[in-house]
Amino acid sequence: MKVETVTISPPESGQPTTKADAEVVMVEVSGPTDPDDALIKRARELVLSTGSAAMIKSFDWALESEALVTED
Amino acid sequence: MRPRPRVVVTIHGIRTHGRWQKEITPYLARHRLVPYHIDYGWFHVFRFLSPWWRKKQIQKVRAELRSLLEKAGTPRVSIVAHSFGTLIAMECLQADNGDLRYDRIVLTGSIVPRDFDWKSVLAKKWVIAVRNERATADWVVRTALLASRRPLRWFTRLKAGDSGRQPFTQSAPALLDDWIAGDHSEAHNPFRFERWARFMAYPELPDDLLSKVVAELQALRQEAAKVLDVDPELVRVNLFAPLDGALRIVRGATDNMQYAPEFEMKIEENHGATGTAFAQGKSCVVVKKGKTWTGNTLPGTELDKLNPRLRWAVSLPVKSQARGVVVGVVNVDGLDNIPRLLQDPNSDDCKVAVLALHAGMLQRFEPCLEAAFRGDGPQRIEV
Repeated sequence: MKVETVTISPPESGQPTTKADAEVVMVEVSGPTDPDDALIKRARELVLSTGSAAMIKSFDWALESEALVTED
Repeated sequence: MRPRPRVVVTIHGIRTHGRWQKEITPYLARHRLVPYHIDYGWFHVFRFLSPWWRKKQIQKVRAELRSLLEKAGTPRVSIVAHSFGTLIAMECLQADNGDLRYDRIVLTGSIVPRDFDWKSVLAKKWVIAVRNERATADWVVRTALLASRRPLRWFTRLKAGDSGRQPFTQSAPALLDDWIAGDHSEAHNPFRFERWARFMAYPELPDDLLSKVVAELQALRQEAAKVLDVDPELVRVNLFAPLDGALRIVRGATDNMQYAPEFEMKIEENHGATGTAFAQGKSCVVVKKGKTWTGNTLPGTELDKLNPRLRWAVSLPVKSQARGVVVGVVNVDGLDNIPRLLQDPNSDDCKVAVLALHAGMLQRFEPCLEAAFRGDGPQRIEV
């Protein structure tokens, strides 16, 4: 399982490149989802820290059903 | 600019004065839809079989629809059509070659050919979504099919089908198929009107689903504050869905948002974090490190509507599990300070926070939005 970020390029303006104050970053997940992956484990700990049963249930469901996977 | 009025045009079939058109009106009104009933009077079966009369009738309705769009100041209308009305609606659409566009369509007792090219019509966005309501014992649509076959076709020149009895041959995420055991009139039984009205109102959420979504948004705001270790009073959440050619905040589906101009935001696909999350089906993060929102954010007109205190946003796409398409975007954003985990959007900290928020909300929003898209009530939600 791989989690990567991709910075979305601003549209071509024809102007000289300047440093942007804000950028949109897209999170890509390529499967299969591994519950033992370090990032997933940390994410689950964060979810557990909320104490929300609904959030934990949804998190485990998303992992099991591969709902987070965005790439083949 | 306020969203335009959402007009629903009803078109009746032959040998009727369309009593159901009047009966469906209160259901449409309940969901803030504006009904417009096309009444072309009693249309005899012999006229229906005559290519000349049929063509004349279709041209009349086409002119009426174009006039309606102009007068109502809206680029699209939704349609509920029965029997010959279904053929009229789709022939008008094809004849206008993209000038006439529909939002959401309900076909009942449909005589549109079963091989109708829905994929093309939906891809070109001439139509946004369709519900085909079939009745399995509908002999009238079967008769229309027979009248479209040789030798009768030599006289009728009819190109009809029995899609009111059997499903369309093509399938697409925005083409819904439903059936009932019954005949031609049973297809528009009043007990189905509420569902159709809900379907056509989408992405406006009916009160029962809206209250569920708002409860989840309220919970998500508190949870996100905990995940990101920030003051919940500085976190806001909202739901965006496509309406009238752009992504807009679903009426009532926000929590802790108080800056009025933001409610009027209109985001194109692939614009900013919200538009990119919707178009690409992937979570997006945007943080404002300097004084401006430069970068691939939003056009100036939309940036002007943002709360000046906004510093970060996480856009989480909600994908329909059944249809495999993104149906909306839940945004979690915040004022004044950027949370530590989001400081560097390319860091593992940021990835972890986004994974936690996205996975932690998906199962709670998807059933509600999918039910709303289909026109179902909350009793059909299985969580």
